[in-house]
Order: sequence, then C-alpha cells, then structure tokens
Amino acid sequence: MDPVSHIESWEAAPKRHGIPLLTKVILVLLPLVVFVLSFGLGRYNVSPQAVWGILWGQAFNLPSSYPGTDTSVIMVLRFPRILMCLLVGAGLSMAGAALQGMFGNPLVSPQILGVSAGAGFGAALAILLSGSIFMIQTMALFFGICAVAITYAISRFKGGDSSVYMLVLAGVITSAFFEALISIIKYVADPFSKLPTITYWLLGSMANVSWQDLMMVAPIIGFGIVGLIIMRWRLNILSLDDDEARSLGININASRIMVIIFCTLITAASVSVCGIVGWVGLVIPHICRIIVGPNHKNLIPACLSVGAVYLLMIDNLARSLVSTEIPLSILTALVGAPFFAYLLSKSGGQWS
Amino acid sequence: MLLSVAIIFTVVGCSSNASKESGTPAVAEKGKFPYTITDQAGRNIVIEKQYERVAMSSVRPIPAAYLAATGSINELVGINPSSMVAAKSSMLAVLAPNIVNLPTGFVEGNETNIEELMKLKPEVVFCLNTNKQEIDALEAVGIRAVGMETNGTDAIELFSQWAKLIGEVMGKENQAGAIIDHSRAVAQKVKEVAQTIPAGEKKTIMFLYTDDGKTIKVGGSNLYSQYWCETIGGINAAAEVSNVAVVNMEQIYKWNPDYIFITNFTETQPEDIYNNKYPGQDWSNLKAVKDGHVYKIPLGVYRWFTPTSDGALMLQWTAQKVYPQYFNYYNIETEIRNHYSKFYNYNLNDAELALILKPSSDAGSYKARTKE
Amino acid sequence: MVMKLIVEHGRYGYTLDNLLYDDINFAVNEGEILSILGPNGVGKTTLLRCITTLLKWHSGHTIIDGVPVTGRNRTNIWEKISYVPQTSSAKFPYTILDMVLLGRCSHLKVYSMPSKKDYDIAMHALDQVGIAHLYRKKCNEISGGEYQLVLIARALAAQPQLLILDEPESHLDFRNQILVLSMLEKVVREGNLSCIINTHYPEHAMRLADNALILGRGRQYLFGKAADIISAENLSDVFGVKVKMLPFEYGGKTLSSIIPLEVI
Repeated sequence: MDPVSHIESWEAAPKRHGIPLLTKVILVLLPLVVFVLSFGLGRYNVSPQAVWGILWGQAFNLPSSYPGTDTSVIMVLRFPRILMCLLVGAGLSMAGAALQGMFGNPLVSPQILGVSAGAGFGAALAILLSGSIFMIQTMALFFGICAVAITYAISRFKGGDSSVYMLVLAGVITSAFFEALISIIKYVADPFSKLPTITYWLLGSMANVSWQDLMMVAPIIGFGIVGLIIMRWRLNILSLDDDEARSLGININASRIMVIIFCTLITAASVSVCGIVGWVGLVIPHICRIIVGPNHKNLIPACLSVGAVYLLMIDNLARSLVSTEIPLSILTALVGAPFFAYLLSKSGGQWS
Repeated sequence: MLLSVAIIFTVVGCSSNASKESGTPAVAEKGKFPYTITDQAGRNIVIEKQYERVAMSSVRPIPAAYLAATGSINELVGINPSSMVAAKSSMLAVLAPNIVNLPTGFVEGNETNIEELMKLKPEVVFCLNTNKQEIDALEAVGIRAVGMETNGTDAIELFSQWAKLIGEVMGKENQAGAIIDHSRAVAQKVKEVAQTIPAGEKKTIMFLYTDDGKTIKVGGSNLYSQYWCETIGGINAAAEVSNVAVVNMEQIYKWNPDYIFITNFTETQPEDIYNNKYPGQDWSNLKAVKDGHVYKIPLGVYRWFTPTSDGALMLQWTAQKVYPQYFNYYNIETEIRNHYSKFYNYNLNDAELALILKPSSDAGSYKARTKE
Repeated sequence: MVMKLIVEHGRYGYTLDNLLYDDINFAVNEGEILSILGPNGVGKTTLLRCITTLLKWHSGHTIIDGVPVTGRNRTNIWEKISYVPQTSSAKFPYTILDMVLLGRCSHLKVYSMPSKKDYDIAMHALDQVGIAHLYRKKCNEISGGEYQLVLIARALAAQPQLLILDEPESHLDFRNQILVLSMLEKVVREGNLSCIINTHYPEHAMRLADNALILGRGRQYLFGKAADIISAENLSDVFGVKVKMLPFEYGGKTLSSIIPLEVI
C-alpha cells in the first residue's frame, strides 16, 4: 500500500493523531509535579527538606533523623491518601469517558448504571448494622456490583438486546430502587449516631485512607484502568449505531459487557473506600475532549492524567484549606458545576 | 460515713439557703394550683395539677435529669428511643429498672407521632423548645408541652435550668433545688481552684467525640467541651473549630493536646488509641499518648460529656485527671458513691463503681448493657 | 481476493405473518456487481442486513465460499465484507481519518491498536474516494455528500472481498453521483471485489451492475443479468410507472436512458 505522498501535510507530520508534543509532555508531567507538591501540603507543617529526606530515607531504608510526627504525617497520613486520590481520580474519569463513549452521550456519568446507588446502599446498611470498616467497604463493593448486574439483567428482559437505550432505562430503575432503600435506612437510623455517619459517608471523603485500603482496591481499580486502556480505540466503534458498529467487526455485546465490567469495578471499588465522589466522571472527560479531542485513543489516557490531578488537587483543598475536613462531593460540585457551566458557555453545546 | 452525710446535708442546706436568695424558683407552695411558669421556649405555662403521666419526646439526657430532679421515674409513660438506648447502656437502667419497659415507638427518627403519643395518655410532654409544630400540636390536643433548651456551652447551668424547669412542672422544687445547688457549688469551687493555676502550667485538652476509624470528630468551641476545659483551668485544643467538627489526623498533630478525653458517643477506648487500632491513623506521636494521658470519660446516669445530673462529678473527675496536684482535696470514688447515695438514693457496689469509671463500649455502639 | 456469496431459500419478515421474502435465491460471484432495486418499503435494506447476518434468516442460508454462515462464524464475516450504511449519526466529532481508521478494526486483534500501516491504508482509502486532503477535518464540518464518501472510504479501508452499499448516491449531487459510481466501478474491477449495491436509480444499475435483483411487493422477486432483468415491463410491473428505455452506445458499452412517463 503506497503512502499518500501527494498530501504534503501527511508526509510531513510524524504524529498522525494530531496531538501536539507539548500537550503530551504536559499530560505526563503534570500528575508527577502535582504528586510531588502534594506531599508538602497539609494542616501540619513539614518543611520541604523534611519531606524529601523522609521519602528518600524510606525508599532506601535509611535510618531516620526526622521526628516521628513528620514521618507519620508523610508516610501514614499523606502518602496513601495522595495515591488513592490519583487512583480514584484517574479511574472515575476514565470510566466516565468510556461510558460516555459507549452510550454515545456526553451527559453520562459512572453512576448511570446504578453502581453508586448500590454501593451507597451497601455502606448505609453496614453502618446501620454497626459493621466494621472492612464490612462497610465489602458491602459497598458487593452491592455496587450487584446493582449493575441487576441493571444488565433488566436490560435483557423480553429478549432485549441490551441496547444502550435499555441499559439507560434499567440503570434509572436500579438507581431509583437503591436510592429508595437508602432513604429507608436513613429514616430508621438513629438520628444522633448512625444517620450523621451515613450522611457523611455518602458525601465522600479520603480521610484516614490507609495502606491497607490501597492494597484492597488498587488491584481492582488498576484492573479496570488497564482494561479500559486496552479497549480505548474500540470505544470509538462502540459509540456508533449498533449495526454500524457490528459491521466494523466487533462483537458489541461482548465489548459492552467488558466496558461495563471495567467501569463497574473501578466505580464500586472507589465508592467502597471513599464514598460517592460526584462530578469527576462527568466533567473531566469534557475537559479532556477540549484538550485532545474526542478520539478515545487519546481521550482515555488524557482522562487518566487530568482526572488524577483534578481529584488530588481537590482533596488537597479538602484536607488543608480549613481546620475541618471538607467532604469531597461538596468540593467537586462547588468546583465542577461552575466550571461545567463555563465549558458550556464556551462550547455552546458542541463537544469539540 | 454518717458524719460525712451529716456534713454534706449541712453544706447543701446552707448553700440552698444561699441560693434561695439568688433565685430559686419563685413558686407558690405546693397545693396552690394553678400556677404559671416559663419554659425554655419562652412560653408562659399554666400548671393546673400534679401530673401523673409524663412523656419525653426528644433531648436525650432529659430522662436521667428527670430522675435526679424528682427522685423517681414513676410518672414516665414514654421516652425517646435514643434515650432508651442510652438508658440501657448506662447506670440509669440500674437506678430505675422499670425504665426499660417504657414505650418509645411514638418517635420516628426526628418526628413525634402525636397520635401514637396520645395512646399513652400523657398529661405533659417535655420536648425540644425550637420544635414549634410539635408544641402547637401537643397543646392543640390538650397535652401540656414544655420546651427544653439544648443550646449552650455551660453544662452545669444548662442542666440546672432543666432540673429547675422539671422541678417546677412536677412540683418537686426542693428535690431539684438540692442537686442544682450542689452542682453549682462544686462548679464554683472548681473554678476558684482553677484560677490559682499559673498560666505556664495550663494544659491543652482535646475531647475526642467519635472515631469510627474513618471519621474523627472532636468537640470544638461553642460546645460543652469548651466549658469542661475552661472551668477546670484548661485550654480547649480544638477551640478553633466549633461544635462537633470533623478533623483529620494532621490537624490533631498540629494541636498536639496534653490530654485526650474520649466520649461515650464512640466505641473507641484508650487502648485503641495507644495501640493504633485504626490503620489510617497514627496517634503514637502525640504528647497525650506518649504521656499516657488518654482517658475514657466515665459513664454514669447518662454520658458525662453532656449536661447531666452527674455534672459535678464530671468536673471533679476531669479536674483531678488534668491537675492532680491542685485538685487533691477529694477522692473521686468517694465523691461518686456519695453523689449516688444522696441524689439517687442508691448505694453503688464495687463492680458498679468500676463500670462507671471504666465504661465499656456499649454506649458507643448503642447496644444494651450485657451485665446486670 | 475473491469471494462467492450465495443466498439460498432465504425467508424473513419482522413478523411471521408478514414475510418480506419467502424462498429467495441469488448469488454474487467473484468480481461481480449485483444491484438491488425495488420500491420503498419492500425490504431492500432489510435484505442487506439478512445477507450479512445482522438479522437472522428464519430459514435458508447465506453461504460464503461454500460455507454456510452460522452463529459461530458470524463475526468472521466482517473480515471479508464491508458495509456502507444508508445513514450514520456521528455522536462525537471524530476526524475523517479517525473515522476511516475504524474500518481497520476487523483486521486487528482484540488487544491491539492501529499501527502506521493501518494509518497508511486508511489514507489510501481516502485517496481512492478523492478526499484525502480533508483528512484532518472533523466529521461534523463536512457536507453530507463528503460524509458519504468518508463512509465508503471506511469500508474500503477494511480491504474487503465484498463491498455492500446501501443507496450510496442518496445524498450526493449530480456530479458526485457519477464520481462515486465511476470510483466504485474502478475500485471493484481493479481490486476484483464483489459488490452489492442498493439503488433507487435503475440507470445506475444498468450502468454498473452485472446482475440485478428486483424486489417486488408480495414476496416477488426477479434475479438475473442486469441487461435482461431491467426492462420496461419489469420496471412498470414493480414500480407502477410507465417508462421508456432508450439504449445507446458509449465507451464501448450499451447504456440505457430510462425516462419515467407516467404513473400507472
């Protein structure tokens, strides 16, 4: 096959995708920079030298000359929390982008299939039954996955072919059902003890995230992230009409199931460990589309980078801005909603 | 023993004489119905008879306060379910065993079901002073509503106002007056001693409200925590946040309190703090932990963190923990025994006393006590 | 690359008491162009979907190179066949190149990404339809006709043995219609592809096709050489229009001008 030599710009451009090198460099470097800077932020003051010295020392198992408090702040309090933010931010953004692609609708968020409502119910139930932290996380994960399984089953009623329309409707039903159950739990919960705990949990927080939590969810979220990266180009095809997509040679049912599995694992695991963090899965894909375009081959990795940075910066605010911890959903909404409005005003609803 | 009882009676008698001048309820002597009082919603209430059927729909510590103010719970026909849970996991169920049989079903969440309540045929209901709908609804069906205040930091004063109001409503002003006067007197004495503590020796104190492993809440300013700290001559480490505030571990590092007191709203015990039970938290670097100054607040007739009839004991216990060298003129166990004997007419045995001073996590897990 | 496709005893209808075809038989041999004609609603698009197993025959088979297409080998069909739909709604504004690149999917493994070779093939396909210079433009920034060419290029990028097009001239202007037809003819003859093309224009069918399949109402159909099947009587029977056919020689071929006279 001859390359098309008469198109000069084709021959001249080594980068066929059209993303400028500078953009790629920024997308790779930005998370690293924010990651490093985040270690220096927090209510407790640790000097940059101490931050560096502690991390270096831990990495190479050197004896520490820094006070125990400083070491604890860096290694126990900030490190796992920062990593969790990167992981969850990246995962939720990628899941949001993948689902928006699969449904062909830019207004979709990871909650659309009911996973957050299910996970929220699992956690609320566990809190009501005075379960341990482990039980809360496990039940959130379990019910989050159950909710999506129910959604999928409903979408296949009456020989339905789990077309995206049926999935959306089924997701609405499942979400409404589990939200109703959450309301019941809130109603019967002791208003002084259980109810505030449930409410706060549902608002999302990265507080007290531990290395154990990371061990538990990193493999799950990581699996989902890797899966979406592998599938990213095929998301372009999934975004087309059913017959068109089939005619290009993919098995749309199998592909959709894979996307749903990856996105559900990411979202359920995220919710189980830090509650419901809204707006990230909805807004970040839009921002990334403006930066790198709608081609999912570039969009998915861009969401990984931008989503990680976004949630990390938001959580830095949540834990450092004032003496009290600000719930994540409040901040993501306060920042996300006006920004989304700004995006709409600039783009006029055209997602280019 | 008899001598100390006599001395206590004299002291109480003197102070109650003194406080009669400083404003004990100005009420006509018993038998002269009807009379008018003012509740904590600012309403003028006419008391037209000796009530025999009393219910409490909100404000969790009120049943315990009622016991102290009137001497028994015989008139109670229903209480708030959260108060019931608290009763079962505290000394209240021991002091007034019949309380566990009281109905609680008329309260759903934060709402009082007036029709359900009416089935219990109460004559007077103690409720929240800001809940105008409930007050109006009760009065509309002929039930006397008495509004109770929950705002305030001065736990002794708040309890005193409750006891005074309950005493006026039930015609038990003397009984109520006794515990009010005693509480105020102890508070006064503690304040005086606290003033002698030099500034350089003042300790910072943090009240750990709850810690469930995921969220840490502390008692800030504008809450009873502020009162307990200041009255005994301490400084509230969490004063920069207000009410019950969610903070993270780093903020606690920044405060680095000298003393940590854990309330009975949480299951967390001092061992959990010393042993770093919760993976995402590291308490080991704090001064209070290194010095071994982490304590669980005792649990008496109700959780001592809030205004209760055991408020005097809370002051004495906390003060002795923080400044033992200044508050060395009493033995806390003796004080507790005497308090319970005088005001609840109950002689504590050793096991019960131990359970008060080192409570289990039942009250924090909202389970009924398994013992007794 | 060559392929022989046969449809044998095909039977399909959206409801069983309202069949569109009952025992329909036809074939497309190596390198042949088959044109399908028929009035609106007779099931031309549905037939294409049945042939390509997007819909399942109630009875009868599609047979490709002697092997009946069953449930198991259904997805392999797209390694040999490309399909250009009548309409396509682009939900996201991909660039033209990205859209054409999607045609390479049937040749890529599940876990792979397109390579430089795939990009070159996509550009070549764009060049074949004559819009390679627009490769950077977004799909929502071009005309309907140009978008139709993009879809054809996408189908060609898959390097098919059989190219199926559903009314490709519908959105094209007068010039572009001829352009597409000539381009199709050239591509199909040079690459020795087979082709099935739904068309509303009997003249195009006459010009382009070797064989013709005319679908009539009531499950009637006619299949045979285009020159034989596309006659004035058949057209007036099936379409209810009285026509006059005027044959003439051009470029060594016999073409026909078909003039509709009046509705019957």
